Parts: sequence; structure tokens; C-alpha cells
Amino acid sequence: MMHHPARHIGHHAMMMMTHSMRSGAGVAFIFLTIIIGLSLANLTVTPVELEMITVEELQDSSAKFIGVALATATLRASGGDDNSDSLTSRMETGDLVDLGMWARYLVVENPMLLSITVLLLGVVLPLLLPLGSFTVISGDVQHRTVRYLLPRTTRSSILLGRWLGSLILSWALILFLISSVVIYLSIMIPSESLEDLIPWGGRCFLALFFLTIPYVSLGILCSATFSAPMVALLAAIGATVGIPLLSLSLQEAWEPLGNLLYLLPWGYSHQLLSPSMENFFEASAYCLGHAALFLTLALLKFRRADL
Amino acid sequence: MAVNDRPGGMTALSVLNGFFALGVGGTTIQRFVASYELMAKMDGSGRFGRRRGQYFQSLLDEGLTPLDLQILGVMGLIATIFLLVSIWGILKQSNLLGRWLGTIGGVALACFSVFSILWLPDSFLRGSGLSIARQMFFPVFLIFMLHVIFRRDFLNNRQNS
Repeated sequence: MMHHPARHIGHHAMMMMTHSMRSGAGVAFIFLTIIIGLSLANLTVTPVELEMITVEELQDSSAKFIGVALATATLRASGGDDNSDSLTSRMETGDLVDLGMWARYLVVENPMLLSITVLLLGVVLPLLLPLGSFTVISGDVQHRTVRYLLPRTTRSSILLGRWLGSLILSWALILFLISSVVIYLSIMIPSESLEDLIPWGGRCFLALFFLTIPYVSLGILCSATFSAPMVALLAAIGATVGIPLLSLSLQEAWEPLGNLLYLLPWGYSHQLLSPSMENFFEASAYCLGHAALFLTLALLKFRRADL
Repeated sequence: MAVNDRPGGMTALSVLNGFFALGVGGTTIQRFVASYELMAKMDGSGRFGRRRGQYFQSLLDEGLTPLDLQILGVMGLIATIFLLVSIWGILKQSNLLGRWLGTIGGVALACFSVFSILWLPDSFLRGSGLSIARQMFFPVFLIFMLHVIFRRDFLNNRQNS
């Protein structure tokens, strides 16, 4: 009896989520994502909560730091003098004024502690997401168990279903993390009101929602490419860490090489928290484009694989 | 093929149990030591440096008593022992030693965190509330995994044995 492919994909997604929670890698992924996410939030909140620093002082210092980080991410830090003081002055009066305003939008116009937490998550999540997807295909290929599924379903359904399952699990974890931080901030930090936190929390979730898609797809691509799960994990994390390091160091030698950053969403992912909704939609579209590319490559690889 | 049918997640969960048992065990020792130091401060028999003496005096001024620390120590001790025993139980997929001792260990760990927040002054906790909320995640996660995700594994193993 033939079933609709969408039902097969949904079934594989459900099975993938159930299996993931029962596997060692899945438990490690869920546990590490939540613990590291809450630790990042704790790192942000502690100085304010223990009154080691005032909200205004943190706003001022974090606006400068975020401005410098944005200048680096947009490959505009190397213009002008090299020291960070000149970067600060360029953000106040020079060619980086837009970045200074962007940083102020994140920490002054919106709940600062949530913005900083989400920015940190945006850096750390790409390293954690491969943990949730590296065994999705390679685990079954290594043990040659995937062949038992093939008489009843298609390779494309397996891959797409497991990709969807990984995504839903990652989104659920991110939603849990952001909700926990929003609830905690609204109760414990009087300067962060629930009326501001809820819409900004929604926007932050959307940003991480789109950021997750290409990195999970990259994990699936590595999982479909390498039959040994640990090699797939190393490849996914290696690419995620290596590309920004490589591009930023090569940029010193020849500036156009900095554009290697765009091989992964590192080059534009910060635009997901841009004040301009146009930039947000553009960055979301790029995320989907990257994901489509990785997923197509993974499909091609998996359909031709000797299972 | 795997040598036995124990899901990998159970092994991972038992490793996490071990980490948290050691963590809460260390804190438990600290609670007992602090309670005896506080008693020594109260009856004037202890010899402390000036700063440490001031610190214990400030804890007493904030209403902390040695009994509070000892009760927390007992909770921590229960959590440590039950979590350690449940490692073996989870690896053996034993319903009693794994699932139920793990649950009691998780509840004791949660109580240990909650009562630490309620009873201990901020200067003693040396952390924000979010770090304690983070500690609360593991007991909730452990109980969810034992009673929802791995429930059938424990029950099937009980029927088979």
C-alpha cells in the first residue's frame, strides 16, 4: 500500500525525535544545550543581579563590545586604525555610526540582558547543533540498519524526515531556553518588564529559529557524507569553527578573502537581530538558501550511497 | 550489533548522575564543615582569621543557623547516595534501584537546591538565582527521562527478569 510522502516524512521525524531522546548523543545534546544556554544567561545576568555593576554601566560597556563584534562580523573592523578605541570613535561619529546605533537598539531600546544572552547563543549554538544531527544518517549507515527501512520507504523521505525531526527538537530546546530566561528576567530583574520581554523574546526566538536551519542542515550533510558518526561530528564542528577563523585570518592578508565567512551563515546571521525588518527577512532568506543547498547536497549524497 | 539492548541514553544518564552525585557530594561536605565552623563561632571555641571570623559573624547576623546547614547537608547526603546507587540501577535497568532510587535522588537534589535558595544568604550562595535554576534543570530532566522516555525499558526488564 502506497502512502503519501508527507506522511512518511512526518513518521520519520517522529521516530527520529523519539530515538534521539533515547540515544546517548541525543541526551548529551539536550543536556548540554540547556546547561550551556542557561550558563550563558547566568553569565549575563549575574553582574546585574549581584549588583556588581549597574544596568547603565553594563549598557554602556556592552554597547561598545557589541559594536566591535558587529564591525568584525560585517568585515568592517579593519578600516581605519587597528585599535578598538578608534573603532569606538568610528561608531560614535565615523563610518560605523550605523553599527553604534544597531548596538544601542539591542541594549538600550530592547531588553539588554535578553539581547546579550541571545547574541551569545547565536555564537555558541552553531557549535552545539551538530551534536543533535551527527548520528542522524551516519549512525544507521555505519551499522547497516538503514537497509531494513528501504523496502517500505524512500531515501529522500528518511533524510527529510530526520532533518525535520532534528529541527523540531532543536527549536523546542531553544524555545525552552528563551522562555526560561524571559520568565526569570521578568521575575528577578525589575528593569526588564514583561511587556517588553515577550515581544523581544519572540523576535529573538525567530532569529534563532532561522539560524538553526542551516546549521542543522550542515550537520545532516556531514552525517550523510561520512559513515562514521564521530568523523561526521568532527567535520561539522570543524567547518563551523574553521571557516570564521580562516576567513578572519586570511582577511589580514587580502581583504576579499574575508568573504569566505559567507560560506556559512556567520557572515550575515547577525542581521537576524537587525533593527531593519528588511535586513531580517533578507538574512532569513539566506539562511533558508544555505539550508536548501546543504540539504540538496545531502540528498544527492544519500541517494547514491552504498547502504 | 550492540552487546545488550540498553539504550545509549541510559548510559549517558547514568554518567550525568555520577557527575551530579559528585557535585552535590562536594557541596554536602562544604555544608557540614560550614555548620561546624558556625557552631564554633557561636560558642567562641573556633580560631578563625579576622576576615573569616567576620564572614561567619555576618552569616549569623543574617539569621543562618548551623541546623539549617545540617538539614541541607542531610538532603545533599541523601541525594548523593541515591544518585550514586541509581547509576548501577540504571545500567542494570532495574526498576527499583534505577528508576525509583534515581527519582528519590532527583527529588532530594531538587529539594537541596530549593531550600538552599530559601535558607542561605546571598553571600553564602555566591551566585545568581539563574545558576541555581540551572542546577534545578538536572533533577527535572532526570525524572522526565526515567518516567517518560525510559519507563518501558525498566518495566520490560522487570517482566523479563
